[in-house]
Amino acid sequence: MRTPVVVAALLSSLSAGLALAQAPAQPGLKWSDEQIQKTAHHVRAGRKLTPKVWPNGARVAVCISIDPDNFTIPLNAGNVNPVPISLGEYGALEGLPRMLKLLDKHSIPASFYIPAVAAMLHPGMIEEIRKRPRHEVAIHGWIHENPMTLDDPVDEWRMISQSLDLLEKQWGRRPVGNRNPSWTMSTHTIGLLKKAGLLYDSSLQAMDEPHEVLLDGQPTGLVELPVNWIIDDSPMYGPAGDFPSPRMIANVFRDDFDEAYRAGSMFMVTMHPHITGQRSRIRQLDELIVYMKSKPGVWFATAEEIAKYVKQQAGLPGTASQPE
Amino acid sequence: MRTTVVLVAIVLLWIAGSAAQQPPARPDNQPGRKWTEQQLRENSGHVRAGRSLNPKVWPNGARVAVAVTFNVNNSANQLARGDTAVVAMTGGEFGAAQGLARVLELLDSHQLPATFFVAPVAASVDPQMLPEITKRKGHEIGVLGWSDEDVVALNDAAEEGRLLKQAVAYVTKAAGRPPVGARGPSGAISLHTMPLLKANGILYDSTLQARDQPYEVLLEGQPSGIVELPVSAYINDYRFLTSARTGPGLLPSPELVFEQFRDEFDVAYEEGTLMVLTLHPHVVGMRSRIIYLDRLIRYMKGKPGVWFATGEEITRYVKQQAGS
Repeated sequence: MRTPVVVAALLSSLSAGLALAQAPAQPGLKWSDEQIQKTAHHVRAGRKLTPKVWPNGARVAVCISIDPDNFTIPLNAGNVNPVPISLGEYGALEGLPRMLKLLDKHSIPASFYIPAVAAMLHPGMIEEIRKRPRHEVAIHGWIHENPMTLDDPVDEWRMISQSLDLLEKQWGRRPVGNRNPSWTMSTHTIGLLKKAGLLYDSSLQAMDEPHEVLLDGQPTGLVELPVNWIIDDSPMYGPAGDFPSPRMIANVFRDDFDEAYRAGSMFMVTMHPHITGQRSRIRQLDELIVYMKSKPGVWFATAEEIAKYVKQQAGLPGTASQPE
Repeated sequence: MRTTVVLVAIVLLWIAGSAAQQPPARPDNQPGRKWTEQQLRENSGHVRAGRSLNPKVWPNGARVAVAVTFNVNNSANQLARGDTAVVAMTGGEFGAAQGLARVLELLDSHQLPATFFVAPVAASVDPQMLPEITKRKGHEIGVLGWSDEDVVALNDAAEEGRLLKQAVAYVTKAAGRPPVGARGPSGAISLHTMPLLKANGILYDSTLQARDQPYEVLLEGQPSGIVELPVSAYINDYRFLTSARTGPGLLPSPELVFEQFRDEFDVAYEEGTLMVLTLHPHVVGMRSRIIYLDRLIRYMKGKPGVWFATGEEITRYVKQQAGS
């Protein structure tokens, strides 16, 4: 009599475990309309901030953005094996110097999104960037962590604050911009970026144009300078990229620029020193810059300069023209 | 008494059941974010790039050194994995049955020395290979593990040491002299590898990728005396043009692949450093690829001041120039 009870209890606890192991993969199909709307509208694109005209009558704004991640991704994952460490270190030892030299040759600015641990372990990077005041340094996670899978606002805030402090110490200025590692965000991120008082983010992908970020339907004042995986060297012509031919992909980048130029908006390209800084890839960046410079009315700027300009033109709160 | 036992059992099961309803504790796959600065430095500092060993000038006033290297692994890794797949095995056999002869003929026609990193298991399956290489004077034989095993996955210093010793003995016997060069089998090296290489009389490694230039390997921050002739995932035929046994590769256009190799060479030439080209007889030895290797060699030979050398010759030269 009692044995069946025990067996039943055993079975029910087993089935609870099984149900967990096989959680339904498409829970959204059972959500109410309210849940769907709330989730979809948590972080959305607000109004467009492309100005009527760019500084000095330019037609397009171009930001060369560079993410010196080095070996932070394997290190964060606990992978300390020599080959992945060496692959990342290439960025600091060869890639970044080569890219800085190229930017010097063309006298154009760039924005550098640096994981704080990468800056800690190779302090020479920001030292070199600092010698060139036209460049910007901004945050890119503490150790290129993935805040989405962590889903821990306390830990995330710790890492954002530590990153801002470390980069401020090395760069001499407190960064005003953010790019989330691997372009992943938790549902806490935008709120935390606001709390940190940042001017802009550069991780979202809802538009080609600069726009304001809405958080739960409310304007945040945070400027978004959107990115896209198809104008990023890593998924395209990194060694395991989808189409690792720098020449073919450079055509895609140039077409993207042409369309930005025609539309008068913004072109934000993302590159990594351990990829584009390679000998077989640096030429593509050189040729892209030469091409863009050949057109009249191209404003090469840091993301910070672009964000400040569009914010002020749009009269968003917190800008010089309209104090909060 | 029995009632008590049953009750205790039910309570225990209830606890087990409610524990099962908690989200299962997942392993933390981002441990690095919680490490202290000291831990970050230690964990990323086991095997690192030391001083550059790029000489002021290459022999006979050459501008650049080029090492054409081949990984002769054929089906060794498949055998290490205990995979008996018959057709896949022939994909590796291609290296011995056709690819190597084609490669050797091409090298003969250009009178070029090359370095062959050989997995002894591949050599023992097709014992005609090594005599074909050694009967031509000028080529070098290095080791590629015992069976192109993955030493990181193995994670066993004693077993890795046993395999390396066995490999060195095999090559010593087959080539008539002990090998001085090693390349990490399966493109990996473990935290045990470098000390094992030293203990086995190896002068140089060619697996890491932290620089374009030859460099000294640091072990736990200390100069090791081991010369690194760095490779690059961007100058390796394998991922781009993998053989039929693993599919068509990421960029199955030899034209697009070899144009990148040529770009790598151009920058190496301009900067006066080193290019280590990594190829596989069962990949580049295919008819549609060998013609591009021929063209690349012609292109490089068309420039003045290119020193084609084995890994050993380059290592001895840079060591002597650096006074070590």
